[in-house]
Amino acid sequence: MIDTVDLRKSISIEDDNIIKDIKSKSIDKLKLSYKKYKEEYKYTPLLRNIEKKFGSFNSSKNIKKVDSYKDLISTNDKYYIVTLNGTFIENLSKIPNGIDIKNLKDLSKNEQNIFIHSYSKIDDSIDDIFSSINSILHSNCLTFRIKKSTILKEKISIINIVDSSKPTYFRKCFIIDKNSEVSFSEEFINITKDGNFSNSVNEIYMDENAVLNYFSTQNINKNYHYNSINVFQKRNSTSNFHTYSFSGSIIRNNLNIKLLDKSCFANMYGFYAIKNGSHIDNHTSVDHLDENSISNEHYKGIVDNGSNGVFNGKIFVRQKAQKTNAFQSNNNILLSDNAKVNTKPQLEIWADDVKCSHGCTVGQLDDDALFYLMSRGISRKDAISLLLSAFSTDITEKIEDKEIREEYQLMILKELEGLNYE
Amino acid sequence: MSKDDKILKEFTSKEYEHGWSVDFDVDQAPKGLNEDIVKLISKKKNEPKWLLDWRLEAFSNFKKIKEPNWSNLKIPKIDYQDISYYSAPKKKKMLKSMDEVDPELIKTFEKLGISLQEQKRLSGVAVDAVIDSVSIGTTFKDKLSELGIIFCSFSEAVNEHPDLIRKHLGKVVPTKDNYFACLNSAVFSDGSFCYIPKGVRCPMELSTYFRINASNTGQFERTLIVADEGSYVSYLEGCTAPMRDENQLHAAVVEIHAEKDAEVKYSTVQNWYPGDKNGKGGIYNFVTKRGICNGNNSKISWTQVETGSAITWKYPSCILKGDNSVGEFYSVAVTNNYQQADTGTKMIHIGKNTRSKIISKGISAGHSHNSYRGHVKVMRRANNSRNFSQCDSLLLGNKCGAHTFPYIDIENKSSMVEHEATTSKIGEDQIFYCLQRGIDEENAIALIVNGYAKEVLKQLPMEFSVEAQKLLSLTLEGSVG
Repeated sequence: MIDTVDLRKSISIEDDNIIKDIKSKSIDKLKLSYKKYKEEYKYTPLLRNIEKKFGSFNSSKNIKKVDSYKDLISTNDKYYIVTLNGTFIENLSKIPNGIDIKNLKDLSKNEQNIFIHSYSKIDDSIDDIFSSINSILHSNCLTFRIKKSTILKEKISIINIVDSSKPTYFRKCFIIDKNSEVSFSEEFINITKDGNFSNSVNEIYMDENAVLNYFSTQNINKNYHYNSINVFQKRNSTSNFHTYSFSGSIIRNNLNIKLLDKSCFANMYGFYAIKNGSHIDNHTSVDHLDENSISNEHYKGIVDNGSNGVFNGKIFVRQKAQKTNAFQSNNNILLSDNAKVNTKPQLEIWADDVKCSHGCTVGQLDDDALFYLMSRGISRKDAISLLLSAFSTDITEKIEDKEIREEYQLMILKELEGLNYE
Repeated sequence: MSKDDKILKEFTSKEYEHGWSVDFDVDQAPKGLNEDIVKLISKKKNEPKWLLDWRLEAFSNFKKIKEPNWSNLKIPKIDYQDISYYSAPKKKKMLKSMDEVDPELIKTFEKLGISLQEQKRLSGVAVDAVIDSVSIGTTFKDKLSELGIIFCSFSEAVNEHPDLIRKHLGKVVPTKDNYFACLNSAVFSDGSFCYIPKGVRCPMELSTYFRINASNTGQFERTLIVADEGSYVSYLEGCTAPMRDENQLHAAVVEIHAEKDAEVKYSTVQNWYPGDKNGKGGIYNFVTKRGICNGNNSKISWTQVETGSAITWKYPSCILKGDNSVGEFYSVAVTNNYQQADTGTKMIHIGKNTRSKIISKGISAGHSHNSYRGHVKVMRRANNSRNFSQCDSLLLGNKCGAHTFPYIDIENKSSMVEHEATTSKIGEDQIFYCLQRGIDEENAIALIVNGYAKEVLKQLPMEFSVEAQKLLSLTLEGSVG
């Protein structure tokens, strides 16, 4: 168990009393979340690995010079936001109109109140120990306010740079106001190569009629990553999440969506193609709390040598949430005998007038299809990558924007080349 | 009150049909659980030393393990010291024919509609009737023994076939398996033992009827089935228990061994007292059922119809060790009022080309909660193994819950695993179609639900399928769509 004395010491330096208060409440949640660790992390020994590697959860206090990271930002995107070890770097970022991005500390009292009202309220600190640790140890919460009726067609990249041999904490809080529409893509870039740990928690509030597209790309080689996204949706809002994972010593994704109001839409799509000892753990949860909402979930994965793919999808339909439609599906292809898949699609339903289903498969490439392609003169290698990329199309075709879709399709093709099929 | 509500009310207010109790002359152990009680049980049953040691080992393991809390059940605190662990109708003399059976007992069976004579004469089913933990009448024994089949009470088997028992007891469910299995291993009172020798196809369905009768007596049954090479047996287990206000604990263990080319079919209809409509009383049913396909080409098939018990905690499992072995699990679980069921299966694929199939149908009504919990594990060596799981839930009314927790762990690239689950209510269009054809709503629902469960019901042997269908329609007719 984690040393709480040490943690209490670390929050004593906090100068803002309100934040200090929230943080000390998070320490109390640690005990609760630790209880759930055993089941929630059944296949993913993240805590043990982090404790062994870093000894302590505390992050480094050294402040790095920012100019040296300028070359890293080679994004094609028009707008981007850069953070370093959890700290927002304004002079490297380019922010569009209609969005306010500030540190929680720098907001005016009035604005701060709006964020404090929501901040730390919907994260999964009670359920997940890494979120509780993040709540305590992050040094700075970055706030995003998308103003009313702002429609941004261009995607905004969030580039998080990790350059520390100690654990790093990222914390973001988004408020998407009424009738606005926005797309984000988030990725983590690791400078230190010898296994660092980044812990990121996002809280997203979506007001009525808001639309959000959110892309995560995870290709972090031998590093550890924890990512928790917590969404809170109001009436008629639509969220689309796309998560693509390719490598990582251990990656744990928590995606928790609460459909608080009537007629919400939530779409979660994920694709993972992993090899060489990578471990990807996707935990999702959709909680239908009111009527007429629809949730769709589809995760697909290709798991190659020595890798482990974990999927756990939860759908909750509360008693009040009549006329809910909830679908969930997880398909896996195992390419190698020392690859593993652990999947648990879970339904918990308390309302009777609903349509819910889940499906899950684990299998391999169809030999007949392979033979067919080879009989047409396509080499085995090409045939395999053709079939595998076709497998991924179910996920990529869900991306509405053509440019973004092609970007991800290309990315997947590149990653698939590295896989072997015996 | 709408028609739906009316029908629902009618349905939920139905009293338990088999609620009655017969007073026997009962030899009961004092309440409490300690080593002395374990020794007392063993002594009462004239058990050999090795079995007592085995019980004591299980008891010491039981003390070390904590009560499991992972299930999706709200289990009231059980005081294990407030239960009497042994009760037996006083043995007057050994019974050889039906005439010697207590007339009161025969009446009991007649009330249940399973009279021994009737069974003996008409259906050709050998019945090993168990009332409060001690077998009283065993029929058709001679006929079975001609073929070399051993079908007798567990305590009899301990004395007459000690080698077989010693070889197989605790091999599938070891003494340190889980909390309730440990408890059972320590204090089990009696049960059934069945051995089918090499190459023998058992000519009749073997069956036992369990009844919990003495008030406040936990029933700890132990069943062991051994099917030797190339043999076949179909085993039936049916349960009804009288109405009681206090909760009764039931922790049974069933072990099955299937050797090369053997096939075992195990069917259960469970209709214990589920508690009244306010959730008071009812049986706590914590059962460990597990079978191992030891040899190649062996097959174990579990079929269960669960309609009773206040709490059901039951996972009939198959360990598919032999190559080409097959495991099957068919289940219908119905819960009503405040019943809770957490049931499912485990399929562990170890051998090559092993196949398993899981069909689970859950129906919840009233304030009940019905969970499916399954585990499909394909080990690294299990090439070309195949699993198909389907677990559907039907909800009747908006105060009940249906939950699905399938764990799927795959470590072999040539295996194929499919899982699918749906949750829904009875479609309005389906009811409309029936109404339009002149079938009234109540019959339409019964028809649809029976159709929904048919895939499982048809797996039951003839003798049982009638009882099961009766039970289902009894519980479900008049339920709301």
